[in-house]
Amino acid sequence: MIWSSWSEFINMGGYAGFVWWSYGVTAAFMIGEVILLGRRRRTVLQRLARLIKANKHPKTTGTIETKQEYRK
Amino acid sequence: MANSRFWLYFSSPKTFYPFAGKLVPWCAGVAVVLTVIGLYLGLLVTPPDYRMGNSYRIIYIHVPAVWMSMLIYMVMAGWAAVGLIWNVKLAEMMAGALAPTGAMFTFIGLWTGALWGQPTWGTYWVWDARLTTYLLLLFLYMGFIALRSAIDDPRRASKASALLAIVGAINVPIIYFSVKWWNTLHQPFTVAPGQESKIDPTMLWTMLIMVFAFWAYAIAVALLRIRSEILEREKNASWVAELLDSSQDTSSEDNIAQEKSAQGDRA
Amino acid sequence: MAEPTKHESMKLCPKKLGLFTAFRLMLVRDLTLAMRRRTDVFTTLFFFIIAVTLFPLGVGPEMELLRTMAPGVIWVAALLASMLSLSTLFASDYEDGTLEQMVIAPYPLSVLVLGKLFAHWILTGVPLALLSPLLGMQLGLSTDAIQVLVITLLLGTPVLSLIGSIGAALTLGVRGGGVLLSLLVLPLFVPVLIFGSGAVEAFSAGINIDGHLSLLGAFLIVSIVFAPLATSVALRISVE
Repeated sequence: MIWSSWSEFINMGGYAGFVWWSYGVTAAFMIGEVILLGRRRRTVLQRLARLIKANKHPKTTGTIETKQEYRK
Repeated sequence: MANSRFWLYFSSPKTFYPFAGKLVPWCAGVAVVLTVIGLYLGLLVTPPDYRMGNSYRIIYIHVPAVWMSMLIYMVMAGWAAVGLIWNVKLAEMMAGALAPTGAMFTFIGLWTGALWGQPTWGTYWVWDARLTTYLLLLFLYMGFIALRSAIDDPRRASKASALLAIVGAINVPIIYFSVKWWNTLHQPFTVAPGQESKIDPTMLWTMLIMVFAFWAYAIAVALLRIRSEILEREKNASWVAELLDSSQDTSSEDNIAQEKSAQGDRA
Repeated sequence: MAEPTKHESMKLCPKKLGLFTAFRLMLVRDLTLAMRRRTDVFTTLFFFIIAVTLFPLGVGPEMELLRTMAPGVIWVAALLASMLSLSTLFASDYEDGTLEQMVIAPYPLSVLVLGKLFAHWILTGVPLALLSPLLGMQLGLSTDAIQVLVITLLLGTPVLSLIGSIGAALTLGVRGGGVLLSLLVLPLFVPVLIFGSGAVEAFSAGINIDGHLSLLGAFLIVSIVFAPLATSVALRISVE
């Protein structure tokens, strides 16, 4: 450990703005990408579940019916 | 040949999907562990640089991001070529799955580079050969992503963007050398960044650890993305239905009903 | 419908034509079609003139400043003008089905593409180069520098047509095709821009420009060899 205090660490020897903006934006992008991918996967799975359900009940294949059925 | 059978086996989305699913947690785990170690070493242990002070800590993320963005473009073009020449659907999907991550790393590279350049050279941006080419790399990524999302037919989208990736990859060195030539002709800035005479071995290690962390992250993210894409593309394939519906009996549906519901789903 | 299309002439004569004949027929066909819609050619030229004219209005009338900017300004305007004209390169053929005939024709698609591109260059690149002295004089370039400018434009604009045709083929029938085309193609135009405008600047600064010109020539040769191939692959992807 090269820092003697918390505030010294945050200050980064006077370069706080540069260092923390770099690390912060990088972290935000990487975490954001993972969150977006998780969201996308959930949407895909939901759509597929709807699709499979619709296939099992071929009489209710209309969009609205399928969606309503899914929401129940 | 065992080798070619191996490749055939993994070039089918059906077998690749669960394989990728097994790989993701491992890559993600490696990425998290290495990032934690890298950040600990980079921010808390390594001493400040004798010339740049603490601002140099940006290069622990700048260098890996730049490396990854260039490597990903090359890998992307490689997959695109494989997909286009041998007509491998999975390779084209791989190229598409890598592009957003590559573009993101390119942006991070530009962003962190600017924030490192200001305290180090006194300017956020120079029209230097490397920086200019790197900016153009971001444009190439953007073009690839835009073309891919603008075409509705997924088959045509991945083929067209694959060709674009190959053309772009051929052009990157030409662009680099022309920009370099242009830059030496104008000689507006004489920046010599390669003068770090003494690099502390722990600094080098930290950087390498961060590089591997970004590698693992990129692989994990690309696999996650390709898994979603496989499901989207193969939504009418029977194995997807079986996979998601393994608990209940999936009697063989007739194709017409499948297509109908697919259309209804899309609408 | 008296279009002298190539596939019609092929239907009439069953025996296979030579490659050069196919190239020539494609060229003549495109030139004839363009002559019937002459406004398209003039639109590109007027865009070029207007784009260059906007610069003095934007940066101010100091002749010294304009003179240093002139090669870059004229080259960027030429780049944009030829890029705008690219979006119509295959569009009408795509709509009326001629493109499909080209794809299944018993000739290498790249030869036909080369014919089309040669026509495109005659209709955009050459007029741009011929018009550039006027704009060069407006921006205060010397007569010798204007000569160099014309030479670089004559060498560089075919490269723009060739590289741009790949993007034009990829964005066929895609929504927002025009803007997308610029996003795909402009980064690839950078080397031509650098050496084209660089040659004029170097000439004005008294530097030997053989290197610039031979590099532009090298770009031209390489893109004549490879761009039609890539374009024909792209056309097949778009048409299939």
